[in-house]
Amino acid sequence: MALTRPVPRAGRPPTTRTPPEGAEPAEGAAQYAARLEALLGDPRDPGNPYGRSALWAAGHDALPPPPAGLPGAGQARPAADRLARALRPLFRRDLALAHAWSIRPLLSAPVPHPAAVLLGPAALLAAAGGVLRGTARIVDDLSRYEPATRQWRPVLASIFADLLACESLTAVALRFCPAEGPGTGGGPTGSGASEQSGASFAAVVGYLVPQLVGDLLGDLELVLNECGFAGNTPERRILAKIVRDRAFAGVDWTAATAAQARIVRGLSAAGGAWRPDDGTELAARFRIAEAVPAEAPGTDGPQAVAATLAGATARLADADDADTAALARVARRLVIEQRALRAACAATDVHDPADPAARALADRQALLVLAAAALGVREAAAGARPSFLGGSGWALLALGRIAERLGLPLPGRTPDPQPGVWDELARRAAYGVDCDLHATGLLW
Amino acid sequence: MSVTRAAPGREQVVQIPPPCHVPGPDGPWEQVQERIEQTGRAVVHTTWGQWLTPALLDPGLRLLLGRDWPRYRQHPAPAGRLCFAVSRVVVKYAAAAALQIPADRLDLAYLPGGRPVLRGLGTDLQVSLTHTDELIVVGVSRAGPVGVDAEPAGRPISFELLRDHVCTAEEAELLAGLPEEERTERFLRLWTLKEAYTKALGHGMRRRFSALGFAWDETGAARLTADTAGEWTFATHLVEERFLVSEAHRRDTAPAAPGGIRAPAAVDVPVRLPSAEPPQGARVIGFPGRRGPGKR
Repeated sequence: MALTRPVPRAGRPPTTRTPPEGAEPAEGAAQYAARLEALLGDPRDPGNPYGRSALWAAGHDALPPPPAGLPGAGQARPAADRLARALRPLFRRDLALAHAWSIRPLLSAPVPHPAAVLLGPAALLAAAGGVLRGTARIVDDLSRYEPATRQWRPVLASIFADLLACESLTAVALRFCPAEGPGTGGGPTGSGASEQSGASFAAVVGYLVPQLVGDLLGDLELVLNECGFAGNTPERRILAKIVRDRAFAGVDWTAATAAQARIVRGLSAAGGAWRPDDGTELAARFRIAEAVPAEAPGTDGPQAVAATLAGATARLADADDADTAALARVARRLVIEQRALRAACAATDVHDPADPAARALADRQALLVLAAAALGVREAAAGARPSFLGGSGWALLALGRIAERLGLPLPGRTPDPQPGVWDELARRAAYGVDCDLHATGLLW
Repeated sequence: MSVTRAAPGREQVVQIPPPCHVPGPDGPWEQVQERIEQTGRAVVHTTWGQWLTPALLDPGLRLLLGRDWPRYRQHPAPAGRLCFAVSRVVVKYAAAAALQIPADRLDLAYLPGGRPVLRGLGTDLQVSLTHTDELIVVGVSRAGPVGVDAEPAGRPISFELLRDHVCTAEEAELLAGLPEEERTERFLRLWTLKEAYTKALGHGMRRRFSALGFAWDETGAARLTADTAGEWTFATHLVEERFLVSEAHRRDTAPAAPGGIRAPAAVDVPVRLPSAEPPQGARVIGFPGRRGPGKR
């Protein structure tokens, strides 16, 4: 199977630090992903059973069988974040295919993989990132001779920042998953506390990601439409297929409301005893390039991550660049919001998932966990190469939009991070790099 | 009782009833609830003057406005400040009536870009808000996105200046052949329809109106030419005898009712007109060149 263009960064290990001795090598997941991507073939090849045309025609009932060499459920049980990374090419390729081949079998196996419920949102993010990359390439090309097209750059930059924040949340949630499923008793990370922690995180991810990505897909449809891509073009059909596949893959609003109900039931705990994290306990959970530490996480993952927001914000103080100083100002608004939310959660003993006020509290809680995850991942990547993820631009854009969603006024004198975020997006689109946290080079 | 009336001589009987007139927080809301149960959506209209006193005297106004309270307090223009507060109160009461819950249980939020949403309710209940002069119009829907837009019916508007911005080539050609007064009226209707549609999508004026084609069937009802699946319904009504109010609605499958709140019935059930309607019943304004035989 011939490659259609050179691979800019294929086969490279993920970005930041060297994994600790004895840890599961990240290269394994990256290598598996590269092999999987090659097996799936060129998505633009009309003769490829895993190509866009064939998958569009297959619908949900006639999906092709997996290629030889793709391990099924129950064979290998890698750590959750490694599993998601290894399957990323499948997620990028087609949401329905990802669900049929991997997510559904992992959910329905005699011992379901603890990460299975997080893979749907992970697949949705990967698929949406593919559309974003394609749309960014279109806008970048058109804007060279149609200046009006440049109006869409800030829109796409904002989508990119939102996706990176959601990727951060999902990655951290995956790193809270126990290594083994329930009942397997697999050592310290197989504890009930760990399982509960992963389940709580799955609720936040399962509620927030379908909702936010739904909004982003609407914006992508707008940009494609305004760039002259009508509903019958391949670009719009790819997008329409993701929208259509969401219910099949369990990442639509119906699934999100079920997840939201689980967040609501935990709101009383969110208003309970509060122990701000000084940044050391959970730092390893944010270092996405490293293996997950062996010790069991706390009893509630989302709360533990939310508790890092104040510390991460404090460490931004005395920043000497404008973006980071602005990020600190926005983050401080979110810390204040967190205090108010905690008081509101504590005001009621038992929150009812049917109460719209409780559902609103759950929404605020989930957005603050999202902000904390994005800030934590950015901080953990600071100083690493490539430098984009550790920079403040995308985080400032993402946290500013979270503040906007929360109804918080943005502080004055906030610099506009969109041009820098757009530059990174345009570069990734031009050179075939995924919109993920690892800036993974793509084969096709 | 609704004060909606169709423009004489241009009306066509359709299934979409005119917006419900609700003169204050105390309602009446029964008609809104009835429409929600029957079709999954309802449109409410009022004037901010009618709601002003009860809204401002409400000791719970600050709680009701929530995150909008600072915006209300800091609004630079007194009239704009009052309209801002009242319009948000109307949204909350209309949404609360649709869900049959107290209004202070709802949190009105805004997506980046400004689209109003009810926090945490997602697509379970969607809202749209428009106001012009003293008129306030709110759309609420439990069965898909909804958009509303309103303009004074007599608003002076230049077809020549705006045609390329608002119309497709076909629409512009059709309008160009009409007498000026009728053309202006039809042009305004087309504009409000496109505003309502793009607001339902959450895109507002970012979507090029000149790329959105509308056509009219033999009854004068508007339809989107690209909507081959027939998912969208549109209507325009003359409200308070001087405002054009357009609404757009996409008929999604009704979601499961959260928390025991009853989900709407099938959204395609024809609307039974309430007995309180004016004698002429539910009517919409037609469009030139697309009326039934003998109408022109």
